[in-house]
Amino acid sequence: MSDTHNGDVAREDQALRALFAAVPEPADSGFTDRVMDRISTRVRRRRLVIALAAVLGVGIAAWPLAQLVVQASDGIRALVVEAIGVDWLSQYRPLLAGAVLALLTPVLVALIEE
Amino acid sequence: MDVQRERLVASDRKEASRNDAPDDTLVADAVVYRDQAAFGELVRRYQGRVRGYLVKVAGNAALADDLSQETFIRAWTKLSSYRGTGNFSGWLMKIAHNQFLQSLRKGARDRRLAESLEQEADTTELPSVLGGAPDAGVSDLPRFLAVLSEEERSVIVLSYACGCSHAEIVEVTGLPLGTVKSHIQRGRARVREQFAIGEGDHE
Repeated sequence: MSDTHNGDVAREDQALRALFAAVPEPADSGFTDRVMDRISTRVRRRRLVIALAAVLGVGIAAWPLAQLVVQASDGIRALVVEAIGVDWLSQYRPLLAGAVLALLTPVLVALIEE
Repeated sequence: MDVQRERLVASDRKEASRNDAPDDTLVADAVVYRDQAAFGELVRRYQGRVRGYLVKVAGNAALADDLSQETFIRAWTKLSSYRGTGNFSGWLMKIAHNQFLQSLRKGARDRRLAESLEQEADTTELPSVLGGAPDAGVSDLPRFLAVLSEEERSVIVLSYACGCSHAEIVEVTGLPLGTVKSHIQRGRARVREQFAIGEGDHE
């Protein structure tokens, strides 16, 4: 590459930069507010949809889930009775059901949010 | 009253510190805490760059404004995918570039639809999304940009208007480095042909 060629390229670069520099970046003029308003609306709408989906999901899944928890706790109780021969778990059955539901809830909420 | 005043002062201080905060802090707040105020500050800082790029490549201020809004909304929804590799500005420009490409595809669809409607109903010509007259009164720039292809235009604007390096242009456009360099060379050649830029300097 000759010095003349490099000089030409530099001059063209400079000229192109000057061409673009003549057009300033657009001023904000409320643009940021418009974007943030749209984002706030989206966030509110998303929260509402998640809440509605959660209510609907719980409504649909409540009965089968309760059945599942009862079955699971019966199974666990049977296993414990078989293993240690004492049926002490039956009195804690509601507690066990609650614990299982409490463990499942964050997983369900995370799934809905995703 | 004192409590209210203290709260107001604290809120003003928080806003002032946010205005002075470096980009990394704002990005971290926006990504980790989904802090809308931090993201708002980022929008305020980068709107000029994004809109400046889009108005030059799209050649239409209204379309560029729409695409810029979509860019920032998409950035907000995709924040969790921002890994912090490279700078935030580059990540944002990549989204803006993709929005522009999508609008081109949509523009092509709109044009096809317009043509078929024209054939069916023999109506007057529908304006194309991107084919409208560029904004007047901005020197020779629209005339220069109009002679470039979309890809060349993107590369030239990123290089000369946004000051991106070749590596950054590769990241934003996804084009190979060789293609970026050849687009820049071709852009220079076209500018030489069209405007005789730099000729006066030879004398």
